[in-house]
Amino acid sequence: MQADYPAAHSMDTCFFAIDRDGHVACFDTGEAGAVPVQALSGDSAYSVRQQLAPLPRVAVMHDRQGRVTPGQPSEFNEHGGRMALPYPTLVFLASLDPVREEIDAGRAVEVVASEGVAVLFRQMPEALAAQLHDSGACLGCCLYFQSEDPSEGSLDLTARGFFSYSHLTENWISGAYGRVRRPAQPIHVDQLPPRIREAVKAMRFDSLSFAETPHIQPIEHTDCVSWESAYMDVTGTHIRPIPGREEEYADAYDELAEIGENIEVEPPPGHNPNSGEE
Amino acid sequence: MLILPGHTDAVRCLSYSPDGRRLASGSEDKTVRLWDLPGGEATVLKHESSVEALAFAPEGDKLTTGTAVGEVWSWTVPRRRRLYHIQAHDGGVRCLAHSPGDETLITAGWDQTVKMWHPGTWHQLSVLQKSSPSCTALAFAPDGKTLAISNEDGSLRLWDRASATLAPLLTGQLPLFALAWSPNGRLLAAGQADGSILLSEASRSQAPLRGHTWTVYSLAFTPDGRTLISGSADGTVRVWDVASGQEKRCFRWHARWVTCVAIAPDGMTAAAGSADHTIVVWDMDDN
Repeated sequence: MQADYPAAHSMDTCFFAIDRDGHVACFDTGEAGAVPVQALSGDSAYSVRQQLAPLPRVAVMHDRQGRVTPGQPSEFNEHGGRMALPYPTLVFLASLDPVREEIDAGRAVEVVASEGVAVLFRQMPEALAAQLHDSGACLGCCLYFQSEDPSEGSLDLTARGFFSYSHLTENWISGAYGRVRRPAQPIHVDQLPPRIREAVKAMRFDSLSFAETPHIQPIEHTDCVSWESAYMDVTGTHIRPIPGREEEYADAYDELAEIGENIEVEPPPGHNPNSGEE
Repeated sequence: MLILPGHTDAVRCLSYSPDGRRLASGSEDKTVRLWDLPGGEATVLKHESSVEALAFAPEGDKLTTGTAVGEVWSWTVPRRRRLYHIQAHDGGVRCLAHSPGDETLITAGWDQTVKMWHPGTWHQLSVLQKSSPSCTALAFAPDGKTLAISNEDGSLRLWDRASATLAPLLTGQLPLFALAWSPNGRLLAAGQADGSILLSEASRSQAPLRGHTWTVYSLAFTPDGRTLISGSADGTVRVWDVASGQEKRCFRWHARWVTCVAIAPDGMTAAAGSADHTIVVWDMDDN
């Protein structure tokens, strides 16, 4: 009988964790991201999110490095803003010079970046999108939907001192989380109310510091649940079975093995490459 | 240097008894350990939740502890027994302090209130601060006439006991998490979220002490007032020359962040507690 993973039926959730220094992070799974078994997640995590509104507010920094999917193409790596879609678009640049006119005209605003500069467009003009990409000025861009509406549970935790990680790959596999936003002044776990402090400390990445770690694959650190039986490692170059789900992985292996030339797909335990041949 | 092991979770608070013969430590492991010094033999006082704050009453025969579920307990030190308790705050106690003169108890909680309790009966006398901002640290001036209250919004207020009024001392930009008065009551030190330490003398601010790289959680002056020690989320204990503002020493004994520091009444030894479950006691001559 196949093992049942209750959380896997609805994995679009978030979970909390702390690191070796006492930084606190919130991870958005985007559905396929792995969730540590012991982490505060699901409805309990959303309930905690609502209680964090009174925390002191800090400046938010957008993190270019953390948005790059390691080893793989993604919307960000492929410059999602190039399409100039009618949605807010975040663009990372080395300087504001190419977009100064847009900022002066109020069509874009500079936002804080952890390296270089970042600009948020309400909508990226098509001509400018082409110019920024043809000239190589754009260091990375993506559509950007981030607003705070506590009634809908969308409290901006980075503005309360939390590091924010998002699952970077599409939903076909459980890949790395990227640090998409970081606080200018991180909150320390001991600055949280005792009940919340205890809950978020349930998951500790004891070997990591969020301040120094743009990408995290939780499966490499602890037991996790996930939709899929396979995961992509933090470098984005290897696919492996999630520990404990090797049988399912063996069933999916043939399909995974055809994925692409830049990814090494680890054979399942006991796999005989010649077993299917006459 | 002496390492006191025994706690099985983060150490959150420390206090020396007035005679310096005991050190009390409170922990997330739901215990207080009363360490007999200098040997380090411990008696365990069990609680039902994390011990967030503690202080010896000035006479030294009682220990007051505050917990993560908002209870405040009184313990008799000689017999190590619970005397009585009150439910002081919803959501947990953040800090507490006894008045040096008459043992009046002040507590601050996660419910954003600061309350004063009668020294003998522990009946609530008044609420000094009722709502936001949330109080993060309390410190009575040595004469017991003034109470310093630091807040999460960076404000520092002085409560004057005679007039029962609260007056602002400074409005900082960053949350404050630690307070200590110099023994002569002239200097007030406050630890900020970014690791800097503010020094205020008669409402005049001096240049901040800079060295820690993250939140200062605890501060203590030596009895002569010349030295200040600080413990921080950056995992270090630092020793400061108060007159010059220079950092004299930086100790990295702990595997995790430092939550609390205390100096013995005779100034000969000091102690630091950490999230790594240990307490380090060291000879101040080493500084």
